[in-house]
Amino acid sequence: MKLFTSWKVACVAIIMTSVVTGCSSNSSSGNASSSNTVTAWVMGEGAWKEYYSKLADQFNKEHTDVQVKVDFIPWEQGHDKLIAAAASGAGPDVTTDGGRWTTELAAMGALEPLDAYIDSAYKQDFVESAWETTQWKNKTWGIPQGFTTTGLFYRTDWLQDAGYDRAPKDWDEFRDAAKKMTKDNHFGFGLVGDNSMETTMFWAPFLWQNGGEILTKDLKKATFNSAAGVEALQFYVDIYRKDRSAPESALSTKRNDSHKMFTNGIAGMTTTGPWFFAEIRESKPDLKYAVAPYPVGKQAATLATTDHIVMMKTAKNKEASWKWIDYVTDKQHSQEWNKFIGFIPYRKSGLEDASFTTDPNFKVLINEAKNGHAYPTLPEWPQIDNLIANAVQEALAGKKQPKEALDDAAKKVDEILAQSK
Amino acid sequence: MKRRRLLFTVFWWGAALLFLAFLVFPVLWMISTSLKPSGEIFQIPPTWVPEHPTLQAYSTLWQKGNFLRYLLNSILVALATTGIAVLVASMAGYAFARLPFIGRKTVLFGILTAQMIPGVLFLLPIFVLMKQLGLLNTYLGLILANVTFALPFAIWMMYGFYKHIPAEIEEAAWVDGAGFGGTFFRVVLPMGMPGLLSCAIFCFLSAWDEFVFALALNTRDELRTMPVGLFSFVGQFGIEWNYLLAGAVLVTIPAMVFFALFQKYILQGFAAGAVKG
Amino acid sequence: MRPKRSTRFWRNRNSGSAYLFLTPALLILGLVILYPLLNTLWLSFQHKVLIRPDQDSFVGMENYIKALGDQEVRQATLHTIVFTVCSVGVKVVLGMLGALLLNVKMRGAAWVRSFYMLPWLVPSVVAALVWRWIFNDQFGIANGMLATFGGPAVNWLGQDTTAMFAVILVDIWRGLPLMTLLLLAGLQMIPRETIDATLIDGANAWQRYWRVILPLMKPTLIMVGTLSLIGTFNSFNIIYVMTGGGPAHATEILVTHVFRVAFQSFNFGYGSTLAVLILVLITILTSLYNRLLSGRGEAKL
Repeated sequence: MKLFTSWKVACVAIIMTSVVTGCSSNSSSGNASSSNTVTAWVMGEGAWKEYYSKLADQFNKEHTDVQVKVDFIPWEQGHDKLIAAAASGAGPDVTTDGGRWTTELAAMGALEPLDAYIDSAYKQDFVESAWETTQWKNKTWGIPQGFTTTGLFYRTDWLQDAGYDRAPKDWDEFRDAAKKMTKDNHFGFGLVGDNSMETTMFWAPFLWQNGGEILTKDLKKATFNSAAGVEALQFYVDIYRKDRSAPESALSTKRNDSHKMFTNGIAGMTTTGPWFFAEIRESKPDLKYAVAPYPVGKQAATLATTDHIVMMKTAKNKEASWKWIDYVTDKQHSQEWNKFIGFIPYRKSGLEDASFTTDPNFKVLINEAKNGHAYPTLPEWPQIDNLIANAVQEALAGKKQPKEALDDAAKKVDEILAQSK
Repeated sequence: MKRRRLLFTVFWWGAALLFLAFLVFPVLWMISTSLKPSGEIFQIPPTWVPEHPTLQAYSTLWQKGNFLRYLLNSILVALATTGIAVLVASMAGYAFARLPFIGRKTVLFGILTAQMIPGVLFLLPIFVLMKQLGLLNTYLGLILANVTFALPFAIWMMYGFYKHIPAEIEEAAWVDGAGFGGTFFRVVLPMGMPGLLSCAIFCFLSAWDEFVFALALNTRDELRTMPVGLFSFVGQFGIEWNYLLAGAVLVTIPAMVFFALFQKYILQGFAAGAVKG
Repeated sequence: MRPKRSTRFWRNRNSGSAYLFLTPALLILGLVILYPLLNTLWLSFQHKVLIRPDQDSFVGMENYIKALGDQEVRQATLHTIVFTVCSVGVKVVLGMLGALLLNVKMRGAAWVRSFYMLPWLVPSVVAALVWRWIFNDQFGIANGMLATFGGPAVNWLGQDTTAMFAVILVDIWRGLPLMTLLLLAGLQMIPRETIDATLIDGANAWQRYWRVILPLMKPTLIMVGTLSLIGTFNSFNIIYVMTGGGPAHATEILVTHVFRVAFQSFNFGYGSTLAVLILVLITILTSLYNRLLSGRGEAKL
């Protein structure tokens, strides 16, 4: 009987706490929805959280009429969360997003076009290749918020042992160097082949270097299965299956795994963007490495990505929401952010800043901007992205020949594109 | 006879150790990895016992994330789920066991089929529902989802349990004028304590395990539960597994404590409740 | 089990209280399960792709017809059946052995029982992470152990069969404690002398076990097996975290496939259709299992 009493008390106590905490956090979100508070999401944690929570505090101090409340979402979960939120209207007022998601959200009718807030003078300060990614159906759906290119990170000491005094310049040299670096549980290249969009990110630059394209210009048909594409995939597969200069586990290696293999002395080369500098500085400051442009196939090419900041259609106070967007992307704060995280300036006025031009490694990545290719902007991109990743996986696993894998994927992509008309 | 007994003992321990080798070794490997410095986890061949044991992974984890918060969230959500689910399930189970009402079989069967529904498939409708109820980004929303998924089995357990408690005592309480609620709260619940506790373990562990809804229904860092918090670190740490496995150790400990507290009741409760049905 | 008069006794009390006692449970279940269920059923007859709101329309059975001819669905169904049958089969057999073992009175048995339950206490997402590390091709202990015995390194999660093997193994690992516990609970209702006699009586032990204990365990096996079948069929976390359905769809089961259709292609209409089909399939599987065991095709509630 005594046991029962204490149990009952515990039960009641638990239910009470849960109700109370439930309500209290409920009411806090109730406050947040009052009309002069902007709820904003920022994709990314770590450095993103560090910078943007400070920026939000600063914004709130400088403004009396508008306040902002920021939540941080890890990049890997961001896409699904945004779509779910957009579909149910439960999203924030403003969010940053991977630029490749913007058209998808716009097609869902979840975004507010921003043309009413900007004029042509405003546009002119943005680097064109970054600005273009915000355009769809002749409207502006977001403002660039982060701009990066990627390059080849390599271990200078390992490469020297392999007999090179500079970075591999073309595909043959790259394969050769990777092969020579591979010994005693070290691997030349941290190849990414897991079951996700990161695999496409890793492979796509090789497609472009070989003169291939993902889709036709009018976005009506797949072209990644062209001869150039097949050759690029064969190259990628050969590094893994023939040369074995990538770890066996490549089929479950994510981008971040590849980067950690690089910092932990397992892989001698990886490809990534400028945010990686800070990570190396923090975790392995003594690492002997340098950055070079991607090895050139038929042409130089790299993946340029633009993150956006967008306004949701459901934003309660659109003027206030724009104030936050403008605050994040204005000349001063965009430049502060780029310096903080090590991104490339997306405003022309920021490009001459001395702090970006002195570091030789950083200069490599800035120069690469001219070879930057972006993913096609269309709402179906994530599906296409997935099909390409799957084809690459099938070829890496040896289930299909590169041509067969890409042809099969292209057929499905064509079906998707035909349906979307 | 004595020799046979000895032979049996040897056989028993042999078999028991075989089982334990399979069931316990991943946990040992998890603990071992979490105590290694970053360099040692990339050693070939891997070492079973850390050569340079360190708590570095734990301290890094502690600094980098909101881990204490995640832990408290998990505990709060799991305890609240347990409290609500056990109460609701025992009431329902009792009604099924004692009270002949029209449609009893149908409703009971309906609840059993509810067990078959994979939560993942209902992610979006539930998300929309929670939005309409204003329960996104609240503990209550997550608790409600957890209670729902624990309930069918819990009701079934309690139903089986009460069915096998002799009804005479309650009848006596009724006759003494205790009334329905009085009988339930003063007589039935205490008598059903072993069943309640094993049901509680089940509910606690199912809430402790829940991942998909905790991931989908919250966007706030301060509301994350341990599995979600840990999963979010995968991107950050990549193959630096010592950090992740330190988190894995931390998330297992509270469940062990809860289990150890009520362990002696669990078999009793399961025997009477779940299995006999 | 209750005397008949008792039923009459209870019937004379107000049965309104019964409904009162049921209300909270039915309210919660109705809200969070019935509504989404109906919603899914409704959506399964629609063309609804989130990123193409302009195309929303009622299409009747079209999604169902498409699903029946869908190669990917067929493949995922096959994987689901392999995954479920292997995992549940091994869990039932090992669980039965484990339960027999733990049912014996032996000094130290309490300790063994505690450690036996350990995997149940590790959240499945976390378990999947731990095992991913165990199966790492270079630094994982699985290949480490193989190497000690002079075996070759296996690319566990990178090949079709080994990846499937790995996810099944982890599902067994996670599910075995609960399975054993439930079977043990069933065993405890059989008089101890009956079991002890079968175990110790040397030569005929196995035969006796087969003839005496199994029939007694039948109701338990039906219950517990059905539960496990349902749970395993819907096992999402382990595959999602360990392989994400890869490599190249080799471990893609129906629930992970539906997740992909719904949350990567945002085809909610079609995804709902597949969800409904999954429910149908589970019902068929569980009733098959029940028929197999009970011999008469009726599950006892």
